[in-house]
Amino acid sequence: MIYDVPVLRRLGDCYYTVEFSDDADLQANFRVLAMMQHLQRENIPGILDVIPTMRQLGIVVEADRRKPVYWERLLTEYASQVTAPTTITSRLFTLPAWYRDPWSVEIAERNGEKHGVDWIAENHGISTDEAIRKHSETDHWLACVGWGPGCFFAYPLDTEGVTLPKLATARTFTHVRTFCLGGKCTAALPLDGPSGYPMLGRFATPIYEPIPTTHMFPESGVLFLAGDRHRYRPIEGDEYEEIQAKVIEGTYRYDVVEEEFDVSEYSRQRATVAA
Amino acid sequence: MTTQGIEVLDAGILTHIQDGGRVGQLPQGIAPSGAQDYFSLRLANLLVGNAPTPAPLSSKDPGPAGLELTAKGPTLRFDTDAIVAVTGAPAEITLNGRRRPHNASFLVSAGDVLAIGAITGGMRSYLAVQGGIRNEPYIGSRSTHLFAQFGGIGGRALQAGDQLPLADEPLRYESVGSIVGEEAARYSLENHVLHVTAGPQDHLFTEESIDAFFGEPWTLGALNSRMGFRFAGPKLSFLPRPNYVAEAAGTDPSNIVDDIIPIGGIQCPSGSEAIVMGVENPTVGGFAKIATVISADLGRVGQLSPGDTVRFERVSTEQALELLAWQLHGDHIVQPQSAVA
Repeated sequence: MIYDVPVLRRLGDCYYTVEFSDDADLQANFRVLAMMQHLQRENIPGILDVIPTMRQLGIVVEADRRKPVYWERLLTEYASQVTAPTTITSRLFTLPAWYRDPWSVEIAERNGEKHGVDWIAENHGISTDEAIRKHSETDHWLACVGWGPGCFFAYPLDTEGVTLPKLATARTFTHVRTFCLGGKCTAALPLDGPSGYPMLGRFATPIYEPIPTTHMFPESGVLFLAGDRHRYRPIEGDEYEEIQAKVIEGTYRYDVVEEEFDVSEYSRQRATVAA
Repeated sequence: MTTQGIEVLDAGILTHIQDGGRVGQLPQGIAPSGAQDYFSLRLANLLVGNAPTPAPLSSKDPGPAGLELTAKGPTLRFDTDAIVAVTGAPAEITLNGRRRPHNASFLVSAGDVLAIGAITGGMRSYLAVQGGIRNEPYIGSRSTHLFAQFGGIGGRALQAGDQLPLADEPLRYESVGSIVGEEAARYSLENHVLHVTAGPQDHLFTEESIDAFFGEPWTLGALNSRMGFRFAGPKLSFLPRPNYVAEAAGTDPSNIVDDIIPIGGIQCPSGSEAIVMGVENPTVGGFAKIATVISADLGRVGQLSPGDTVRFERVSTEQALELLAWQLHGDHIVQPQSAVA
C-alpha cells in the first residue's frame, strides 16, 4: 500500500529512510527514484549516499555534521514534494540466460530442493518450456541493487510474471551468476554464496567484476543500477560456452540501449490492465 | 615512493589491511568495509603520529591504512626503521623476542621481527605504522573487503610472503612513547552493553518482544564475520501483517519487502536470533530490524568473542552522536615526556 504521507525513519546515527510503501509496488519505486534524483541534483552538503530500494529511499549523512532534527525537517520537506516522474532515463540490457543449467540442477538435487523452473511449471500446470517463456516474455525493472555488490532486484514490467516462495532455509552455496526467483523478484549472485531464492538458471555474462575486464564495467565492478531494465534471452549450452569464451577473452559486448522510459504511459497501461 | 616495507612471515589467523573504509558505493551493494573497531585503529594511528581514522561512513579521508588482527596476530619482518603501535584487544607483543607495550608507540629498526601472539580480552587488535601501509587504493580506500574480494592485497586476508609497502619518508620521532588514555583504551572492550537506537522496524514486533529484546541477555554464537554477528536470546514475536505484505515479502512473519540494512542494523530472522550487521554488511535485505547499534559501538561488537553475553541498551540519536563526538574529539593520547624514547 502506498502511504498517503511518506514515513521518515531514523536508523542509528547516520542513516535515515523515507518510506513510500510497505508493498512491492513499482509505483512506489518510481517515487523512490524521483526523490533520489532530486537529492542528487541538489547535491546537499552532508549527504553521503542515497540508496534506492523497491519501496523506500535510504539516506546516509555525515553523522557529526548536522543535528538529526535538521535532517528530519529537510527530508520530510523533500519527501512531501515527490511525485511519480513522467519519464526515467533507463538502460535496457539483454542478458543471455541458460535456464535449467546443469549447475543449478545439480545443486537443487544435492540440496533436495525443487528446481525453480520445475516449480513454476508445477504451480502453473505448464511445461518447463512454457515456464521459461513466462519468466522471459516480459522485461524486468531493476528496483534496486544491493545485498552484495551488483546484486540486483528485478521485477516484471508488462505482465504479472511468475512467483515462487522464498526457501524456508537458505542454501549455503550457489554459483556466481546463478539467477533466482523469490516472490516476483529475480535476483542473481554476484559471487559464489548463500541464497534463499529458488534457482532458475545461470547468466553467461558477468554481473560483478571486482577487477573490471569486460566492456562497460566501471571501477566499482558494478554495471547495473536501479532504474535499468533487463531482458532475459533464453539460450542453450552451446551459446553459453561461446559467450563465456568471449567474456574470458575480454571481447564480449553487452547488448544495451538507453532510452527514456515513459512512466506515465506505463502507469496508464497497467491501470487499464488492472481495471 | 613506496620502496620499503614489511614482509609477512606468518599471517596469524585472520589479518587484513584496513583504514576508515569507503563511502559512496552503497547504492551498488558495496558495503564500506574499513576497520570493524574504527576507534581502536584511530587510537593506533594517533599513537604513531598519523592522521586519525574517521568513523565509518564519512566523507573524510579514510586515513592511513593499518592491520586488523583477529584472534592471533602475525609475525612481521621490517626492512626499514618504523614507528608502530598496537591497540584494541590486548595481545602479547614481542620485538626480536622482547616484550613491547600494548597501547603505546615504539620504534622498530630495519631487520627487526615483530610478533603479535594470541589476542585476549577481546577479538581484534590493530596495528598502525607511521605513514601507513601503502597498498594500492581501490575506490577511494585501501581497506580489504573480504566478502566482495577487493581492496587490500588481492581482496584477501594476508598470507605468509606478502610484502606490505611503506612510505619512503623520514620518520617523525616525537610520537614515540605515546600512550592511550585509560578511558579510551577501555571503551571498545567494555562490551557487555551495546548502545542501540530502536528501529527501523521495531513497530512490527509485539510489545512483549520489545521488552524481551531490551531486558534479557544475548549471547554471541560461533558463526560470525565482519558481515554479521549472530546472537542467541529470547524468542521474538511479530504483530499480524496485512496479507498483501505476506504475499510480496514472504511467508515468514519476520519477512518485509526488502529495504536497506544499515551497518549495525539488527535483523531478526523468524524472531529466533539477532544478527548485528558489521562493516561488510549486506546493504539490502528482507527481514525486520528491531534496532540499530550506534556508530560508536560498532567496535564493541567487533571485540566480542563467541559465548560473550551482552545487553542492548536503548539511546536516542542525540546520545549516540554525543558518544561519537567523544570518540572523535576527545583528548585520548598521552604524549611522552621526552621527544625520543
